[in-house]
Amino acid sequence: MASFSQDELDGLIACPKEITEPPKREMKLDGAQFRNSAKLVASNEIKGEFTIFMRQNEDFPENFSIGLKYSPQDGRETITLIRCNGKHGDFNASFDREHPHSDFHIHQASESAIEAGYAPEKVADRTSEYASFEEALQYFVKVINLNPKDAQRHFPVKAQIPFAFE
Amino acid sequence: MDFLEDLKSEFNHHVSFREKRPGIVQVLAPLFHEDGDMVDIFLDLPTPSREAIRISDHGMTLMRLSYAYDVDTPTKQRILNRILSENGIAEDRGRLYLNTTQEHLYPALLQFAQTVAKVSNMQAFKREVMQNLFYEMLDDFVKTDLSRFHPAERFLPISSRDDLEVDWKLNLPRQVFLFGVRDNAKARLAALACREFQMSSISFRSVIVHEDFENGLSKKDQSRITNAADKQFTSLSDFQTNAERYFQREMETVQ
Repeated sequence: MASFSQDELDGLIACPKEITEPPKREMKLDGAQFRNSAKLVASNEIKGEFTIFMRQNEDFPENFSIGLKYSPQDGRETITLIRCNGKHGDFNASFDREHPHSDFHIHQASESAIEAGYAPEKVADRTSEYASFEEALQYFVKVINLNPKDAQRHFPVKAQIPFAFE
Repeated sequence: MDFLEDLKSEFNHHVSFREKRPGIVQVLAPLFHEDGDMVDIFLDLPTPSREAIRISDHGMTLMRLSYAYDVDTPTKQRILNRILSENGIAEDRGRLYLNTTQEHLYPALLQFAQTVAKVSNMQAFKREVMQNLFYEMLDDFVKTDLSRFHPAERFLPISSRDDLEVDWKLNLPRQVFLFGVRDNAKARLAALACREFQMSSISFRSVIVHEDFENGLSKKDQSRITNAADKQFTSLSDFQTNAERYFQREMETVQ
């Protein structure tokens, strides 16, 4: 895995971005997963291409992942920068009692993980920023600094459907 | 459930269980992916229509894999199918599973976990897989995405010279001879073939698809193939992205 400094990784997540290839209007069921994706570029001087991927398990909808990948297009490999995840179920406590696997959690790429030879986004922390796929998506587009117009157009806040009382 | 206690004992009590849904138990075993997440393994308890215990991932393995690696070509699908069949694992709409009995649950669970690891590793060794599969992936692309040009495989433009074989002939107004090149030896063969066809006054356009032009060939072989070929794509992804547009332009130019 090619090297990225922590500043570079953080800058890649936070740099302003705009959509070049929009997501489909609805998630598409493929096997056991609902999925969607979009392509982006940075609005500043950063080269390369970003990809948003969205996955949600059909059997366990609370188990989802919304991520951002970066292809530098300079010979370095594509890297996953951040993944906002849902609940994967309980974790094997005998191995790691503090692992955030069972809660909503966020994996984020770190220089230390890359240097240690792990998956770049191995480090994960619990989050209280969202409690559903829809909320996670809204949080995600803010964290990756997506152009507000693109965010509103392609990732609109899903309005609550009111119950019809008779 | 007694068999869960037995399973716990076989795992030296380093495993526990949670009810995920009615009739579905999650196995919390010390088995992890490289990003630290736990391997998703579930036991679907027997039902009136199924006596066996079903060990399943409920689609999580392929979902996780898809974050960085999609099984989106016939070749990749073949590799996946081979991993599954060699390990006795079945797939149903993206869900990997293995039916077993209470007595065989422990070895079956290990067999299942091992297979999940192999499938997950399709991502880890993707570069190696891609290199080994360059010709297969090129074939898949030509057969599917360029089918309107009626590709003919292993074509011999000079019937008496079976040493000068073209990987694919495409039927355009001016026929296209397409070569896949992943090393110096193949680059030399393609360059030689192009020269011989030119000397035999055959009307054609030669197209070379490299696996990695920059790093896969020596400087001399880069020069040889560049001097002999009409058009080169420096990588398979470059070809996949631009081939359709290129051939369309070729058709318009000749007409």
